[in-house]
Amino acid sequence: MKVNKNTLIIISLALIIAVVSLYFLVYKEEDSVFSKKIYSQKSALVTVRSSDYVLLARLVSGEARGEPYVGQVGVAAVVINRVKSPKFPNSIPGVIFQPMAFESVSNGQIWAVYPSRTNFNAARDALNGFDPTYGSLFFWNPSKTVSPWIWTRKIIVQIGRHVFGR
Amino acid sequence: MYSEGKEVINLRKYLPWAAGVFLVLVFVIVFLVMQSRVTEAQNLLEASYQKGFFNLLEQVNNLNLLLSKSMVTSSNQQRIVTFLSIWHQAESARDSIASLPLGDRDLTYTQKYFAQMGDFAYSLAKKALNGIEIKKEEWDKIQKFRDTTQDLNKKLRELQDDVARGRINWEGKRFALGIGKNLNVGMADKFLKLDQKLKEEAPSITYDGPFSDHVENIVPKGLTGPLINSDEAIKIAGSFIDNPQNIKYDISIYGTAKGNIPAYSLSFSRPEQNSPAIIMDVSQKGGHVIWFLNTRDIGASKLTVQDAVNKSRLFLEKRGFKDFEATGSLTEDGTCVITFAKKQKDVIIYPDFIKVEVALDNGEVVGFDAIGYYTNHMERVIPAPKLSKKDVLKRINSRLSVKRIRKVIIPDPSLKEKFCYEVDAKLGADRYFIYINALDGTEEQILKVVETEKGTMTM
Repeated sequence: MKVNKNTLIIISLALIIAVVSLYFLVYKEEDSVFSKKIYSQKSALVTVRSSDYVLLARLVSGEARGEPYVGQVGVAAVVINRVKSPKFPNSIPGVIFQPMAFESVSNGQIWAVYPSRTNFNAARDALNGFDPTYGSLFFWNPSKTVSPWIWTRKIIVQIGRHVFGR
Repeated sequence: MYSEGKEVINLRKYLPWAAGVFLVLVFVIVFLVMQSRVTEAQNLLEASYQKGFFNLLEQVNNLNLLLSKSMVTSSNQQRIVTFLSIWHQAESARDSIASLPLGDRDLTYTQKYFAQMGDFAYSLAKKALNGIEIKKEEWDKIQKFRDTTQDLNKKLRELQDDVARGRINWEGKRFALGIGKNLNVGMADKFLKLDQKLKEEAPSITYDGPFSDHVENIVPKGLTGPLINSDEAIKIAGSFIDNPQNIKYDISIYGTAKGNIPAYSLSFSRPEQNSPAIIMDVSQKGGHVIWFLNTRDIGASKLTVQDAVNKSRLFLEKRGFKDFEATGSLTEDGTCVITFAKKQKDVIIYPDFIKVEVALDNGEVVGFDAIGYYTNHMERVIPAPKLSKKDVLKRINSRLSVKRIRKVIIPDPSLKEKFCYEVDAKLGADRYFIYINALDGTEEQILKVVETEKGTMTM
C-alpha cells in the first residue's frame, strides 16, 4: 500500500482533534475561571439584596429565557410561592436545588449565562410580592412532553409558553 | 540501497495502522477517565441521597417518640421542651425529604405533613408558655399525628431493609454504568405510595400558624359587585392606566386567570410594536383592576421619591382609592415602588395594601398591584383600645426613645388580624417598629427598620 500525503494529513488532524477533545473533556472546569470573572464584575450591581436575589434571577434566566416579562416574573413567583407553602422546602436555595425540581438546574442551564437586566427585574418584582400566577406552585410547557402526572394539577393561568398551576 | 528502500516503504505501510491504534488508545483512555469521573460523581450523589434517607428514618423515629411523650408528661416545662423538639425534628425531616431525588413527583403531602406537625407543635408550645391550657381537640390532633407517624415509621423501616441489600435505585433507571447492585423497583415509586397514603390520612388542621389549612385556601374578601363581560373589562382597563402621553393602545383579552381571584388577562399593544406594552388582570367579579405592569424601558431618573409618592397618591385618588397612607418605598432601576395601606378612621390597616410603581423619568405609573387589598379588604369593626398611649409607653423597654405611636392592624403569621399600637422607636442608631396589642398589651411583633439608599425596609 502506498502512503499518500492525504492519509497522513487526515491522521494528524484526527490526532489533533483527539488531543483537543481530551483537553476539553477532562479539563473542562478550567474555563470556569472565565465565567467567574464575569460574575465578580457584575455582582457589584446587586450588593444590597441577599444572595437569594442572584440565585432567583439565575433560575429565571435558565427556565424562562425568551418568555414575556410577566412570564419571567411568574417563574420567580412560583419559587417564592413554594417557599411559603408547607409542601416545599422553606428557603429559596432549598426550593431551587431540590433534586430534579427544575430542568435548568438538572441540565446546567442555570449556570450557562449570567442573568440579564430583565431577569433581575423579574426576580425583584417577585421578591417584592408581585405574583401574576395567583399562588401557583408549578409551571410547565404544555407543548413539550411532560409527565402525564402534571395534568392532575389545577391550571390557573397561561403566560407565554408556560402554564401555571397548583 | 534497494533493500533499504524497501524497508522505508514497509514502515510507510504500517504508519497509518500505528496511528489508528494510537487513536483508539487515546479514545479508550478518554473514555476510562470520563467513566471514573462519572462513577465518582455518582457515588458522591448516592452518598448524599443515602444520608437524606437515613436521617429521615432517624427523624421520624424521634418524632414518634416525642409525640408520645408530649401526651404523657404532666410537667408544663417538659411539655414545652417536647413541643419545641417536635418542631425542630419535623423541620429537619422536611430537609431530608427535600434532598431525596424523586423527580417531578415531589413528596408534597409528606412535606406538608411534617410542616404542619412542626408548626402545630410550635403553636402549642407558645400556648403552653403563655399559660393557656391545651384543649381536648388539640390533644386529639396530636394523637392522630402520633398514630400516622408510627405507621409511617413502620413503612420506612421496611424500605430500610431494601436499602440494606444494596445501592438504592432511586428512579428505576441508571444514569451511568455503575458498580454495585441496583434494586429492581424504583424507590421513588415506593415513596410516592407513602405520600398518597399521607394525603388521605393526615389530619386537616386549622390553628395559629402559617401552614394552617385556612391560609392555603384563602377566599378573597374585597371583591364587590356583579360579574362583568370581556367588553366591559376592556373598557375598564383602558380608562384605568396612567397614560400621560396619550398613547393609543390596542387592548385585547389574551386569556383568563382561574386562581382565587378569577380574572380576565388583557394586553395593551402599540400599533407599531408586536410585544405587548402593558399586561393587566381585571377581576371577573366587580371588574376591579387587580394588577398591571407596563414593561417599557425606563430612562434616566429625574424625579425624587417625594415626587413619586405625590404622583402615586394622585393616581390612587383619581381611581377612587381614598384614605390611604404611604407606608414604605423602594427605589431600584429607575422606578420607585410605594406601598400604601388603607386607613379606617385613624387606624392603619396593613393587610389592605396596594403597591404602586412610578417611573422616575417622567412620573408615569408603570406598575400597580392590589392583590393584597382585594384579598383582605372589608369594613372592619375596630373595638375601642383598652390601653392608652401612656400605658404603651410604660410597657416598652425604657432604653428606647420613642418617636411616634399610632394605631394599626397587622396580620399574624396565620393571617389573623391583631389591633395594635405601632411604636416607632430608636435604640442608639437603630430604628425599630414595636407592635403592642391594644387590647391586652401583648408584644406581638418587633420589626427592625433598615434604611438604605434605596428606601426603607423592615425585617
